[in-house]
Amino acid sequence: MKKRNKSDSLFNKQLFAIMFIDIMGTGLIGLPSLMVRQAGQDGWISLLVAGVISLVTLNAILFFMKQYPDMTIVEISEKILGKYLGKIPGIILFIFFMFFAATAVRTLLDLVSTSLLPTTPIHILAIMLLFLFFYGIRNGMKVVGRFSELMIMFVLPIFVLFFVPPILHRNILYILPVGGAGLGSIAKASLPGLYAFTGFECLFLLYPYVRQNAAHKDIVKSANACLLLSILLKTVVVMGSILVFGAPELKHFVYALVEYFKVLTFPIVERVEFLLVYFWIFMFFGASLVLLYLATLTLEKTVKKIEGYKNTSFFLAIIIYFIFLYPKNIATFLNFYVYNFGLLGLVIFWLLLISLSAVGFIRRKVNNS
Amino acid sequence: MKKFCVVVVLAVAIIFLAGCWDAVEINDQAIIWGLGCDVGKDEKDKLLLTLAGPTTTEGAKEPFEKVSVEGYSFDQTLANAQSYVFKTIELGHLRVLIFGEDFAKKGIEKYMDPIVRNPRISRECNIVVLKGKAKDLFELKNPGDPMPSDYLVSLIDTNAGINHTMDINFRDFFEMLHTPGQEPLACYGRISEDKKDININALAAFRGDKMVGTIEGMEVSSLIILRNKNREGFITVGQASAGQNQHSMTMNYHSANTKVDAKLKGDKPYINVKILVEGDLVESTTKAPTMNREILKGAELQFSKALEGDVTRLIDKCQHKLKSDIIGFGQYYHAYYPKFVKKHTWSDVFPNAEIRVHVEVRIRRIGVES
Repeated sequence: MKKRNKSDSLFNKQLFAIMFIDIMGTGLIGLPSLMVRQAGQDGWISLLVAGVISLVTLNAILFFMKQYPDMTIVEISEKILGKYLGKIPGIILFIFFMFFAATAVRTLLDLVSTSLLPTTPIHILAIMLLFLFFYGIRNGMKVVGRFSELMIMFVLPIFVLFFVPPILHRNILYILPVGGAGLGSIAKASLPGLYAFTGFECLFLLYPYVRQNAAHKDIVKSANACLLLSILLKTVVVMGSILVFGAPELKHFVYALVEYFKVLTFPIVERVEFLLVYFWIFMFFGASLVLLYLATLTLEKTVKKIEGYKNTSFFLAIIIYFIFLYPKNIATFLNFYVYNFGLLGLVIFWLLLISLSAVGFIRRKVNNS
Repeated sequence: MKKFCVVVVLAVAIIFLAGCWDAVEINDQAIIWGLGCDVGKDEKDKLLLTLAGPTTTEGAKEPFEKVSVEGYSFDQTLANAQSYVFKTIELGHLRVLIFGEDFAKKGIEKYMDPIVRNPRISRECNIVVLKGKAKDLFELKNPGDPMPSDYLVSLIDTNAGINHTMDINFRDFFEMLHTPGQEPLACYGRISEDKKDININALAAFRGDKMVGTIEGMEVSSLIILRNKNREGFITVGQASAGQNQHSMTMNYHSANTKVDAKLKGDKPYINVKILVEGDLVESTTKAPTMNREILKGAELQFSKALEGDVTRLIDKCQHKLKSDIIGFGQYYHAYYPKFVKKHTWSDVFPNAEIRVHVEVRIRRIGVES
């Protein structure tokens, strides 16, 4: 196995943390409303369907990466498709990560400017945020890994709160009749669900760095555990929101997760939703940071000349600043981008897996004969 | 060069750290606790908004300030109100939203939209319909609490604990309004003639977003039991004060569990309601010893009959007088018979539904003297 720079390696638990923050930090804040708009009270089933599809895709990625334990997807594609054609998957993934990071930044800034800082110009918030991204990324994978590991220790206990609203305020009739929305609606609603679980594709790039410190089966275990935990938590939120509000009321919410926590009041912390917003800013920040780092890493692997250059992320942050401003408002963003982004991601991942496996297989056959 | 860059970055950072764009001093805010909505004084199409909250200026003569303004929409009226208030109106601490009865009868949903959109307003804010005008609340002179909104919220909170009213907030109201097979409710209050107190032992019943009537006294606790939202309540049988030989018995119930069995025969809904109530005997003016099993059984039977009568009368009122399913029976049909409710409108079917009630009462404690 090719030995990589020691500062460029990850532990298995760091991979878990990066993946968890990447998946949980994006696509949850408005998820319950998006799910019930199509599938009504069966929104949680659609989410489970999306979860199963994501789980299959994750294991396909793991199986594929196992064949090339010391290479990222960009290096693999260059090996299989050649020096020039092999750069295409890298470019596609780079664009995907850039847009994905921009959607996360947009959601975060919309939430902050709606709930907390309505008169602060969004550009100032964006500039401060992008500077922080640059600061977090410039020293490479080790910092991103440790940051995610540290953050997960703070955020995991708060996820216990996800279970409280349905325990206190549920109405079981709101979730009935199960399956009443019809198969078509349930299938259609799984599209925003796919977006909710996007994030596991980081393995395309991070696998060889973790493989240095862990066996394949350990990586499979932690990646699957991470996705299963995310599926559980997100399904609890969607199902809990339906149980608490009912689908007809829930579909009116823009930030359903915030409303979900508005039902809780404690003697000292009366407005629990603000606590959640503060906490969720960290999650969004973590996810955007990871995505921007993945974009940087993909670019570095595609354009070898800039490998090791610390300021790449600075220029990418500037590009993100212009991308995230593009959607006019949150309605356009949620209805178009989130709906289509998950599906687009899934198509890209499977196209990469199938085309590279097929060409690799043919080349091996030709070489053997 | 490197040092120069660091200095420039720090200098730029100072601009961002100098203060917060969104900072508002507490002394610069007019904190609103109560918001009243009425029909306009002269033009009935107009909205009359009354805002009231504690004074935040040192040395102010009154403990709270209020302002009433008219307009054509909620936000426009609020903007008009700002012309009379020298501090920035802040709705983040809103505790109670009050509707005058005339206003509630016209429909309230479109006026609540800006409140729902505003992220600063808590969804735990209470909703109350007041007999007469909402602005009358702010004329209240309760000797125990100079702040009418604070008094009203505490009154609701205390009485909701003994089933005299329901603690209905914004979230509950909208949930009921948007859930098919269930009509909304709000607290209903009457200001006393001397303008010192409010009686809150009633609820306003709505059909859609329009108020259609009220339910009073024992009907309120019956409704709370039917909706499975029980906290604690009382059932009294007999009238001890009516004469020398008249007696009363009172039970304080702590738990009430209601099971609804919704069925369909042809196109007619049949609903069986089973209620199990458990509690303590807290009053018995007869000389009969309550340490007797037979006497307690007799008492349980009397309480069951009384509650059964109250619940049946309430259901009848909802079906035939109010024509509003505030109990939420329609939810069961939406859940278990979705095809039926797709074919029929529940509000049309509800008055013809056949509903049977069975109540079982269990006395668990009888006090310390028999």
